[in-house]
Amino acid sequence: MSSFDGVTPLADMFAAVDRLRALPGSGNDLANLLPEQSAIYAGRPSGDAERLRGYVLASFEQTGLPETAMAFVVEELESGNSPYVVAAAAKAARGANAVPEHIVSLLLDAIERISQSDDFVRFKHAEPLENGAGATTALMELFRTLAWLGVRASTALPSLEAMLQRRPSAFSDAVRADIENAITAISRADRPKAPSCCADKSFSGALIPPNRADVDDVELQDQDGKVFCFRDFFPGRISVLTFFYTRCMNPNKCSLTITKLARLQQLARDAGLHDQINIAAITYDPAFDLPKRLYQYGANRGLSFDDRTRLMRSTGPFDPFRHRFELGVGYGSATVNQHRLDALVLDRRGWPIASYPRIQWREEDLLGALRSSLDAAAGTGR
Amino acid sequence: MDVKDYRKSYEDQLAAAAAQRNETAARPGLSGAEAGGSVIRSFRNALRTPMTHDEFNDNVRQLIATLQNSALTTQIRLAALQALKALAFLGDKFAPFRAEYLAALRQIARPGVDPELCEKALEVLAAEKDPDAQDLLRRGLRDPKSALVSAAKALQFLSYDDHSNVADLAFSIFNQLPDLGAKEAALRVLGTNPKSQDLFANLLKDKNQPLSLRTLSATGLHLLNPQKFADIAQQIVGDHSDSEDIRASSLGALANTLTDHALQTNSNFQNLVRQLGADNSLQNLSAAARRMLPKL
Repeated sequence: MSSFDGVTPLADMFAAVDRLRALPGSGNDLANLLPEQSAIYAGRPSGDAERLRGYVLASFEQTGLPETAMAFVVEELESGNSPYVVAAAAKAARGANAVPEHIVSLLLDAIERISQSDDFVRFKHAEPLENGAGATTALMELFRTLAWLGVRASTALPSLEAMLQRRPSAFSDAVRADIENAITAISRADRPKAPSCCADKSFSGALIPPNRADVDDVELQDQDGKVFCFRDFFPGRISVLTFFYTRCMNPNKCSLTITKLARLQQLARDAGLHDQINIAAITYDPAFDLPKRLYQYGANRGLSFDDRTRLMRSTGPFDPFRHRFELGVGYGSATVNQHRLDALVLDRRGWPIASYPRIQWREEDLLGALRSSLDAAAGTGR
Repeated sequence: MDVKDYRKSYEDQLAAAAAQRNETAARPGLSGAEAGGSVIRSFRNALRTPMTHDEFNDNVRQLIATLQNSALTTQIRLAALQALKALAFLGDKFAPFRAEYLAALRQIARPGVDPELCEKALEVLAAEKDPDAQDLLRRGLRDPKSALVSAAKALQFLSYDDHSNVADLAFSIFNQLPDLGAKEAALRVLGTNPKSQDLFANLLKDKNQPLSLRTLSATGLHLLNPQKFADIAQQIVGDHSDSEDIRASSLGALANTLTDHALQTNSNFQNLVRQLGADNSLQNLSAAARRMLPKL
């Protein structure tokens, strides 16, 4: 796959993934294709990048899902809004030897999220979807994963029964048939129980090794047009740093990130921590996200700007940030084509001490991480 | 427009579509008039309340079948599509049919289908950010012989998604096609592409360019680089040899950037605006100046 890149025709990419699928033990090779910054997505339109990523993800039902790929599956089930990619994540989960404890709630949330945007999906030879005959839909794949979980998904039974009883039905006849199958499969006590794995819903900020890419002198501009360098703002206080862009089409990602940042700001204020921390978000799309746009985006989501709370864009290169913070973001020809969720806690030198990639972090948990970091910094002087 | 008016408007359009159609539908046993009447009945029935869940579903199924039926006339199928577009707004109620509806549209958005029907289907799919539809549109722009819609329409449909990578194609279309409509569509697309700033600046300054292209360039540059726009617009407003319309548009846009710009303390510019406001020989420009004066 190293010879493929963003200009390789999509049909050739699908054929290459098909070949990999057929190879025994190819799960890890396929997992290496999942990161958003992978060269195979570079320069592609978002729709094509999503379709390719979904095609790779769906392969894991056949090859088995490596543990390293589970975070990608969880992220799509938790935050994805493309029916194709969410369906692919549901299929991928069926290749897992062990599933997270909260997989059932993730699947039910995904069903709720996709229920008004269901579409036919096909993961073999990337056939065009001109005719839905023989294809499944995203919702069907989600219900089939609940069925695959068997008794492990027993907590979903009341929700599934309520879905069936609901009038008017929000589901097509074909989807209702899959709901009925899921209920039957879950109710059968003789079904094997899919084992749990360690990927729990509980919040865990993993320490990440600092990448030495230098961002200290990279120039930033905030929502008011003020210009400064990274080193002028971040060092000296513990910081929360997230990434976003205003043209993001997924309401569960950038828009929600900034909304949660505003809630975190309020919590920090209530806890008396506000004066000790920085709260910042840097846009992935600096050429488009001019100060006025940043201001409106933040203000509309409840962020109250001050010296310690800012939205920023790089006026210089953005790549140093991608490398320093190991960001999961890829670009089409004009803007971002896909990205993961990224939130970091930085120490008083501006180095990451905790990272929360791909998960919907909770404001209370991040506040706890900030409090711990402040306590630790008070002890060590960092 | 309130919901009742909206509904009535659709019903009128459907009735008009049925009335225009005199030819007999090719489907044996069903005349064009009968099929058209059937579409209208299905649509009216689907909106009627109270109605049972099953009745609603039957009517939507009937509309999708009509849309898919290549034996029926284009007018009837267009009427069915129009009705389905309206019903798609019903959210939960329409959700069970969404996948089937999109699949029907994909069957229509292809070569060999009536161009008008194909274009309408492509537009709906493009609005849904459908990757296959976007691919068809991009292919048509690269190879006009395979194009299903005009270049201007293809650009418009692709512009529904900022992430569709249409900017490079829009640059090519702008430079290669003489058609003013296609050029205008290209500039609209480029209005969200930061790399278009120089193109917009050059067009805005070029008095030989058509007014529509200069106006679109003003809009685009204002969006992408307000500072650069303000610098050029200031020169245009003071250039008595330039078109009054573009000077008035520039002045109007400058009024919205005043708080950010040094113009607020530029006495020469302020004097110019006062002179323009008092010049009765000018129409739009004088009016724009008078609107700006209270802000200075």
